[in-house]
Amino acid sequence: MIDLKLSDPHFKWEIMKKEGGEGLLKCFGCSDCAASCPVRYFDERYNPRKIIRLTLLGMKEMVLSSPFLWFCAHCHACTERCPQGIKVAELINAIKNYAVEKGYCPEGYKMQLELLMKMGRLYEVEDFDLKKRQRLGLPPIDKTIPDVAKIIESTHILKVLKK
Amino acid sequence: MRLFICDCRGSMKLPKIDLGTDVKIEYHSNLCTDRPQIAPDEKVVIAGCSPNLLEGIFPDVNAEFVNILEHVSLIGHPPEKAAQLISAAVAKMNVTIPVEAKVFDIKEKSVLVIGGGVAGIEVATQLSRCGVQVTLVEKSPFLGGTVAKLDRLYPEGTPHSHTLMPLVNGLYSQKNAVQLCNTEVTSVTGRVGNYRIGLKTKPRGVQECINCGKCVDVCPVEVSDDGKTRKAIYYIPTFPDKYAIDFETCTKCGECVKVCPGKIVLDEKTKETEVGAGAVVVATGLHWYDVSKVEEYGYGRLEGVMKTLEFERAVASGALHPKKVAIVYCAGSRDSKHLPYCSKICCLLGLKEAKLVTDRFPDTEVYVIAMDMRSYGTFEYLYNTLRSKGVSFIKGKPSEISRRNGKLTVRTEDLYTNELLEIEVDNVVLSCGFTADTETFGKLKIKIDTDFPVLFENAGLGTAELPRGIFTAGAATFPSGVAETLIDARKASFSVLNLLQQDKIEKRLPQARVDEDQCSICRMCIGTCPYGAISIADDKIKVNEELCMGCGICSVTCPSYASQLETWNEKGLSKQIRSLAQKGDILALLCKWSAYNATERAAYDRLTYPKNVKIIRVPCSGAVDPSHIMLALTKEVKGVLIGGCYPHACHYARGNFRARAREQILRLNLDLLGMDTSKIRLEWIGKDEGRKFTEIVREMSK
Repeated sequence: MIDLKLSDPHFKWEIMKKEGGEGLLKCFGCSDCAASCPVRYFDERYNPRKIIRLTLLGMKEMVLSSPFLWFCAHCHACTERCPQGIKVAELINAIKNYAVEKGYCPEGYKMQLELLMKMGRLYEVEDFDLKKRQRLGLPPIDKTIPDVAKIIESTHILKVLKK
Repeated sequence: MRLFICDCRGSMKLPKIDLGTDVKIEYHSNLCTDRPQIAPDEKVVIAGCSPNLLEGIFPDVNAEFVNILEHVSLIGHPPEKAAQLISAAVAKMNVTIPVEAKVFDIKEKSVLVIGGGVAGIEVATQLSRCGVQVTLVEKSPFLGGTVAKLDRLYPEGTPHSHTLMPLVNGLYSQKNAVQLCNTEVTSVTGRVGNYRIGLKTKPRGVQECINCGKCVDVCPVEVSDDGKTRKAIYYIPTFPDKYAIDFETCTKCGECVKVCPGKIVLDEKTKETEVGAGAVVVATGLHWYDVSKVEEYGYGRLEGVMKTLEFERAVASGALHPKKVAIVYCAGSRDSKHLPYCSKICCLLGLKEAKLVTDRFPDTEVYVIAMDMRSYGTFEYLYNTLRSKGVSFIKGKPSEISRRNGKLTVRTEDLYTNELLEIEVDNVVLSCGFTADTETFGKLKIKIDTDFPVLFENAGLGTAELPRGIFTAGAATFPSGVAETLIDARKASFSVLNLLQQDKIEKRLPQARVDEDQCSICRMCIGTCPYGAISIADDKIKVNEELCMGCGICSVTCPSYASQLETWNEKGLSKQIRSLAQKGDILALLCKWSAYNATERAAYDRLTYPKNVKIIRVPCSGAVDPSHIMLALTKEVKGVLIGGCYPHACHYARGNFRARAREQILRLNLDLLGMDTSKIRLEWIGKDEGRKFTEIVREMSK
């Protein structure tokens, strides 16, 4: 049930202002994006059309708190097929960015960010891995990549998350 | 009687034919180029190629055509079959009623245009420019129709005066045109080329006017006119350029008379006049559907629910400044309980209102609730523009509109999100559809369906086939936008000129004739005629010569065989069947518009079928009499095939449905009599479906 009393008329304009969100208003609901989406083979609850239409109706809370917003795999199949030329994957990205700004970042993403800050990798490299590489005749790799933390800091994501 | 046999440049083997001394046989081999002299009142039988071709070569001859090329020679049947077909045709021709040409004189060269909207104005201007005398009749006191009431026109949102004023000025500069406002058509008599039309002119009240507007200031009566409030004395900036009194609401208090520097007369009488016209153009425009019938939307019951026109006028006049608006599409349209069709322009009107309100008040939230958005053609860009302006579109049809906690609430399911949805708004705008002007068409005795499309115009016939001299222009035919209306008006003007430049028109179609001695006035034919051509006057059934198209449906309906079609009368067909049908034959009675052509197609494709298949050409499958089928069955035929056009593709509107009903009743009766019903077959065969035809007859002959 959508109660439009809760709708925020500025929501769609705020998404429009974000990078990648420019095409939002062009949507006429043909559902080509949803039909093209490979994620839907695995979970039909994910529906890019629904995310876009709810955004257009200004249902901010519903969109941002939805776990399905984060299912997009960025394959860009929708972008290729959209008859209105909307860059759908970019648009979903814009909504995600907006969600993070408003404090709707899922815990998993925060943990991934912590790992990247700590080691520069999501997968920890241990002595066991190095030994395996040696056996195969591969050169050793660094256990941590400090440059990644620098890159992350320069994106201001940490400040956004703290807000 | 003369019998012409053409062997198609010697390609056919002809049989020996002896039909006695009464029939003079002439052999030809090039009938299509060497046309023999045939007197118009002479009865002839022409055997040769396709009747579709021969009818074009001998348009003014009373002839029965026998297709010995496609039905005998091309498909390898023996010449003896040709002899049978010819002698059956001769037997039929002996007793048929010949076609009589009907001639209509175009005495009056003037035109009456009903309706003074853009369509009427354009027709009147175009015709008067060509030197035709035109009388333009408008019901309301001002010209302009619906367009004059609008604030702006889609798609660009230009003011109506942009389009209307040049049109009105163009008409007023014409010497040949007479404009009668406040006038209605009361009666129409006569026929094409000579109509007499009764007119009733209501008083205008204001006789001399300098447009000072003092009368409006003193008038105490306030009237709501489609969303705009006006006084009982008012002015619309079109033509005529003077004020008018709305006598339906005027209290005749006399205040305006006191202040008027010109002349106002309150007790003027209604004038009745009569004009003559050779042709009539119906340009009565748009008629809004009574949307209060859609009870769940609460029009007329809930305050704040309005039609598109009312909303547009209220917003434009500054009387309304809503913060939140819902525009509901298809209010009563595409609905089996209301209007079953799509009115085509209401989607665009709704978009226009959305644009109007967002242009004027950018902060207003607009929700458009539509099942489908039919912004056809290039109007798609209007839809694109409105989406980019931030108008919210919801897909669905609202289930109800109600007032809850003092607010109008629209409840719908949004199909874009598959979620139930409720909106609270200040105003609901219902984009409702349009209905046909049954009143005017009724006065002109034109049979139309209660809804659009107007069958009369839809038949796509020229004046030679349907010599009514009545034309439609603009939205009277079907709702249309201003640009389309103007194009249609110009086309209608051309058709009118085409008619009027002739001194007489001739119609040579078989026509139904009613024998008064046999007619019992049961009135069954009146209801069955698809063209409304049959009427009853002075206890006699009359067939209107202008309207009858020669389908023969009435002759089959008539229980006493009083109504007979020229060239296809009951006696003639009986003779033909008696002469042709033999034991074990398959008799095919095929519609001349579709199934008969399929047999020719089969011949061109060299698709063969048994030689005992005998084909008879009928005007329509609805003109096949059950008694003829019974007659064939008594001749012990193997099967009777009735071939007609596909449903909804009948040349005479509903003839094939009549055929289906008759076939079912006949089956029931045969069953009761203990007879074999499997011998009868009714099939829809398209004009190119030769293969289907051959498969059917092969199956039947097994």
